[in-house]
Amino acid sequence: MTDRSTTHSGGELRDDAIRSMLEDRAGRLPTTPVDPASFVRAAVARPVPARRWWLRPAAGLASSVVLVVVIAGTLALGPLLVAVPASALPTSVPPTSAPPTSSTESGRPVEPASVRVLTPAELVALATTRPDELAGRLAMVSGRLSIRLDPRYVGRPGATATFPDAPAGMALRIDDAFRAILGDHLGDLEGVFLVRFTSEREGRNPVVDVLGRLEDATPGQPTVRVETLVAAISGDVGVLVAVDGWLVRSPLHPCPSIPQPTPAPTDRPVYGCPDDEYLTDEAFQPLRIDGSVVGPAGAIDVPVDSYDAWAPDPLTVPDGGVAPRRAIYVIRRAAPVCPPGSLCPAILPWRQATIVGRLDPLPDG
Amino acid sequence: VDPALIRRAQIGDVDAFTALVAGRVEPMQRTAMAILGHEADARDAVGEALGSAWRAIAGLRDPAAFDDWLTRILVHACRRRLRGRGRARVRELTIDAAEGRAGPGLTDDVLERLALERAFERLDADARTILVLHHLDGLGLAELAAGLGIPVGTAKSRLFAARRALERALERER
Repeated sequence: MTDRSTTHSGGELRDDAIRSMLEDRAGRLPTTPVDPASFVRAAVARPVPARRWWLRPAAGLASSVVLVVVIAGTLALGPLLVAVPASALPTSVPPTSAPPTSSTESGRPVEPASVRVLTPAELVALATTRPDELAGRLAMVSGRLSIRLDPRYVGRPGATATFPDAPAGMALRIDDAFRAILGDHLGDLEGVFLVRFTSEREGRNPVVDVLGRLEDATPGQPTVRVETLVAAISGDVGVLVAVDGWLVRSPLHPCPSIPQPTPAPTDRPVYGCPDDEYLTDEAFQPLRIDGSVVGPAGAIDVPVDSYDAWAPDPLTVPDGGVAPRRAIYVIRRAAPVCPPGSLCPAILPWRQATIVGRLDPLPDG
Repeated sequence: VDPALIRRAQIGDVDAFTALVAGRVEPMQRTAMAILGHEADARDAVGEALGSAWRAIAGLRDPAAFDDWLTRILVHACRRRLRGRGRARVRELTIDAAEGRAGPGLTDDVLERLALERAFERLDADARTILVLHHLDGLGLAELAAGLGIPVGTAKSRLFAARRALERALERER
């Protein structure tokens, strides 16, 4: 390999090259100096970005009490609260509370159990009658998926799929990630499959994407719990699972006082902060009276931004925490990250995953 | 860190809070600028971080952890900025600017440095953050772990993964 100014001959980046580049970036600040005191005063006078938390109904006793106190306080001290800017007083973060159920984007409560597994015939009916309305929606379909070479695709990778037990009138398209898992497999697969409606057409037939087969799913019990997953001894990278769980994000405060064990114990995730995100079986109560943020033992580490991307009715509480959100999340197991030769904690098969979608009840037709 | 200033700030003394953080504004701006690469975004992130710190300082239990705590808040603010603008936005790096720093003539070194920065712009928020904290701010693994609120082992693996991601992005940029 050519020796360049930023890399060693082996291709590894040079520390001094990274540092120099970052110093260049950091040095592009304006030549006009900022008066720190003025800057700080302007910053503390900024309005609090999110206050919706206070307006949401809460389920737990603690949050109910908080809500009652807030309402009573608002009634009694309303004029004062209006008169004093919120940013003029420092406030500690109230405990994150758990909502009673998941909810859709509109805030309407939804029981994950109400998400039904379709038959292939029902899928065809929906795809042919409501393609535009359902475009982008995910659904579960139980049945036999037949994967065959299609003459139109001879010489190209992959094959086509059909539900042979379904009436004609729909085109199935195999998603790239599913194709990678299938490899050169041809034949029939039984199970519960994850599909996505599209507004596209192949000829006159609506196109539905097949994203994969859901592991450990049956028509009567298509979802699994986090606890079951983290206890599993196997789990191939790329496998899809529908999880009925809570999506949580550890809060911003008061993390500094928390001792972090090193290395992390293998049987219990250490809930980092801020901003680390997890799927768990219970609504996360990150803020304990002693400031600890150790949550339930069973949790799956999902990438930062998962909450913003997938939580139904995402709700930010002041200063960075979020309200846990329950739903059926479809996750794909990720390859664990650990440097070769490093002493990383043993990583159980399902400790890390990415969320690829959320299963909501389909709207009534 | 002066514990007395923290205690005063915790009971609402804005002058004490200002005194506490005024000397940290410039380093915070440098860190934010390195992560975000955009002056207005960096300034907004620092402002947001200071506002959050002011509102939350009452919950700070350990004054000695103040700097780690403030780092975490700043990192959080930078992540929010990056999320807001998405990863697709790649800043244009002009050859003129690089020439100005490197003297006349467009050398391979200049092109290589531009490629490295374009590669950095392709990284996600986590990777940018850990590289900046380590290579620019000089934080070791233990300090990274404290600053990010994660175990040391996780900090090590994240730093490794970030370097690899930068190397791969650089290969694509060449």
